[in-house]
Amino acid sequence: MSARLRLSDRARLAELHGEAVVLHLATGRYFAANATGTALLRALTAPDGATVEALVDGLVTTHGVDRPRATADVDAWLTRLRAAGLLADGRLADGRLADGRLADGPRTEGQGAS
Amino acid sequence: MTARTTRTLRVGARRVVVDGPADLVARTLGPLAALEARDGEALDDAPPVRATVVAAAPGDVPPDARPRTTRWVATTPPRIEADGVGTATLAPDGGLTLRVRTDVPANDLAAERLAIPALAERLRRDGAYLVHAACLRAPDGSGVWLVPAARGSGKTTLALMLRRAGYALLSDDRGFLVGPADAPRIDPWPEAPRVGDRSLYLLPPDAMPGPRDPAMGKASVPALTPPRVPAPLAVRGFLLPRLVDGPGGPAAPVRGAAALAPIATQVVVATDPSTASATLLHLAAVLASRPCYAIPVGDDPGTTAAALAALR
Repeated sequence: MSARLRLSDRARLAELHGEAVVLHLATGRYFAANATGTALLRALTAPDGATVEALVDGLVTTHGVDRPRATADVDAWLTRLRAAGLLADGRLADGRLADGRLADGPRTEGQGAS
Repeated sequence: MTARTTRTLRVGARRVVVDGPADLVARTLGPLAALEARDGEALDDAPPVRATVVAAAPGDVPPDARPRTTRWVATTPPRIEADGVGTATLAPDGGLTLRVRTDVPANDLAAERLAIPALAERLRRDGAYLVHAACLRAPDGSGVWLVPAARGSGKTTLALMLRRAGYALLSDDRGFLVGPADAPRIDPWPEAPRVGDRSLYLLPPDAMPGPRDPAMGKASVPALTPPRVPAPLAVRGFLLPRLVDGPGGPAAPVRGAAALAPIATQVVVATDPSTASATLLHLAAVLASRPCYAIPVGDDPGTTAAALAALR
């Protein structure tokens, strides 16, 4: 059974014009997402979080991305979230680290002011 | 016997009353002294925020770790700890107790590391949000532009360019955002701008920078210390500087996460997670009500001023 992922208890999310910013309260690191990434972040803020499969399904269904591409994008995106300490469960569903780059998916913005 | 003092600050229309041993209060307030209430300023009738400064017992001072951090500790009552400075406790009645090490240096350390984060956290609960942003009042009276930006992003350069173009520099670095999200106002914190090499050419001839702070690489310019405005002013919008080669260029609207991120990062210093959530939502609502532009900052102040003028 796939692990359920969710945002860290120390992460806080806000949206503007359909795009989200997630902040890590302890480190000041932040993650800015476009509309696609914001949809994924909303899934991670659900009380039960979301599985990787559900996130991939969301990209495939909503944005028409083919499944291999969606899987790679989600894995890479989760890796970035985890690197910023924003993911409560730092492991991907299959236990490996994701690799690859996102062409036009969610984006990280790096270190915020502190 | 140590003389005691009571100092009254104004944040927005709110009174903040600080008392304690005179010398320790002075060293704890540091740059907060620029917010002292003055005769004739409008203050609301709400009970003041009360802050008491006391000498910390040795066991009350977190070790002076490197790098120094300031952090929120979810005890009962909650407190903020600052390495090498002391602690601030937020009582259930809203009062603050600042326990400060008695030999804290007479620079901005106690203020920047403890008193300001603690006061900012306390005031967020009353709807006054400390934001790091230069504040410039437009010459046409349309309101104050806020320039929220991290160090090194061109905030002071843009502020000094606009000052040359007739905008009133009301703060180089920070202010308190007050009022409802759809009608935000800003109470600028009038501090002398700190100028790096990039901006020196923008200083008027009679404004000599002081000694350079080796840690920041910047020098304070006391001659440009802004006036304290007697009441908060309407916010016109937000400007995000972007340093570029060449003269600069036209401003472009910014929406979404790119607009929210520069100002949202303000909330992450030593804050209660629940306060942080409310603050983020408020800042997003403010940004939804006001325009936000990216403005290229090059080497020609005229181009930058023209870019902003074109937004009217």
